[in-house]
Amino acid sequence: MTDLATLQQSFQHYLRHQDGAGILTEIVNDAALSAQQRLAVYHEGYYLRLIEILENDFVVLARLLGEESFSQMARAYIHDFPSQYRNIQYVGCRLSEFLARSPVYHEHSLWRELATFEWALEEARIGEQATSVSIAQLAELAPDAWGELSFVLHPTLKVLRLHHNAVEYYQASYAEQAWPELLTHTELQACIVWRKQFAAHYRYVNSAEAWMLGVVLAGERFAQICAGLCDFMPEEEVAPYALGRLQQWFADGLITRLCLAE
Amino acid sequence: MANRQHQQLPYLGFGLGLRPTHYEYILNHRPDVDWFEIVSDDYTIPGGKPLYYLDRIREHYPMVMHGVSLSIGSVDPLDKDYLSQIKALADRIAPQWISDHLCWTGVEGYNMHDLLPLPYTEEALKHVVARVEQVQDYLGRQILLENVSSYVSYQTSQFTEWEFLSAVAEQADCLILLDINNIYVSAFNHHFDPLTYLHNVPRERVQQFHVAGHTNHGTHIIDTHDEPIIREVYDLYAQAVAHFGKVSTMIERDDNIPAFPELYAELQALKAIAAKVTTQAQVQEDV
Ligand SMILES: [Fe+2]
Repeated sequence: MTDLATLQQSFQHYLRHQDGAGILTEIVNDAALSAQQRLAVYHEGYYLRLIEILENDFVVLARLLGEESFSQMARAYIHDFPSQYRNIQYVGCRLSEFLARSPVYHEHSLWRELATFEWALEEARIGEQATSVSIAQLAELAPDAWGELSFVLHPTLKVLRLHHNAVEYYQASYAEQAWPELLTHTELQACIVWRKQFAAHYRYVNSAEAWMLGVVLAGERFAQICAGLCDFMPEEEVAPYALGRLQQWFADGLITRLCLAE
Repeated sequence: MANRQHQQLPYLGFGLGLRPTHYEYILNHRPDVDWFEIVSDDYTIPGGKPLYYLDRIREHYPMVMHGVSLSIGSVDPLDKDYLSQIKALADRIAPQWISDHLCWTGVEGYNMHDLLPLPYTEEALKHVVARVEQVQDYLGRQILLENVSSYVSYQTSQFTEWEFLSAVAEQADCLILLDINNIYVSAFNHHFDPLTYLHNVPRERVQQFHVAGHTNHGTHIIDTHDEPIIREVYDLYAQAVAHFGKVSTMIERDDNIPAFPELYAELQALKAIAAKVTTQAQVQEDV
């Protein structure tokens, strides 16, 4: 290995582990500041910079844990999952995975879920651009074309399945209210997250709508979607329900293209 | 060096860093700022608010792209995906120029998200020069490299920082973004004379100045960009203008960002210093 490579590896090793082997003797020592103190500026800077990014991306989780516990947790995350992203904005993307895998944090499933939720909001904010179409486009279609219709949804749309009421924790935090009581749902609750204009939006969806979004994302056509909805409700309710959901999706800016069969 | 254009870059005057908290203010007030510098990495994301505002603001102001992730000195391979993101952003916003830092940011695929200093050795010089050439060939233009603040220096260094920076610029045929505050910080931390630094950088290659604030810890100074510019850095800036003449100048403020008018006032102070120094030089020339 070259000298430069060796030096960079041992410097980086110091940043991550504060272990001076291989690097301490490489650094100029002087009376004003020792090599150790000089390296410590980088070591501390490394952790503090990334902890601050995480505090901004996981505001509610940070409030829930309190400053000290959050920064301890964030430190462990940065240590165990060093950033492999060129952009610092993605540093938090594996926090919920860390919380799930860490023996220390594994049991705190609410924290993990809050991390998942807040990261989904962050991802929606910086996710891909797409222009939503208006419901007027639907009205222009001939009624017999509807069955063949499929939809392209906003690229930032994500369907989360939640065990707990993390969303209510999030809301309480922003409303400056007391934390709610921790609930564990008997069935997973689906919640969608997406960007409309510049803001991240979210709302719960029931099982029929979650299923409908799934098949729309898979490219299924309106007729098949309606047929599938019969498993969720009496047949006569299907058409109004499907239409109602479509209207909502248009209003949410979730639909970015209507596709007709060739 | 097949397709690189070697055009004379313009003098842009006095600019500020474009920061999200000021987007609305800038669009509503169209402040009398000559140009803006963006942190390229804030806009190499797929979409959202920053890109929207950038497209609008750049209709009214010249833009310069300043990146933090090139990692030109790392022994890891150059990040081709990053370069293609930078190129795509440049195609989108037509910046006056593109800059990054003379540093490394990580190895073995990791990113420490810090601007880490290089040893000033023959080996590092050769390595950096070859990479700058690759980057310039890829982007089809000269890039600017900026001197970083540092808290360590290496036993193995064979050159001073200014010798190293100058050699990189000469050998790779790139330009220099001279950060006046970083010179001040590093001079304090490594006990050298900042004027020696200023006077030993090739004048014709200095295309831009950065000026910023920092945090003084007594034994050492950390380049935090979260405070107003201090007197000593204003003074060093005056020396830089006296030596280099008219160089496009901007203030970097990345943290603890004040309302726009406060930064604007700092920019006016720099402008006044530059005007005074330039007039003095003119008078001396006339005599
Ligand atoms: Fe700078």
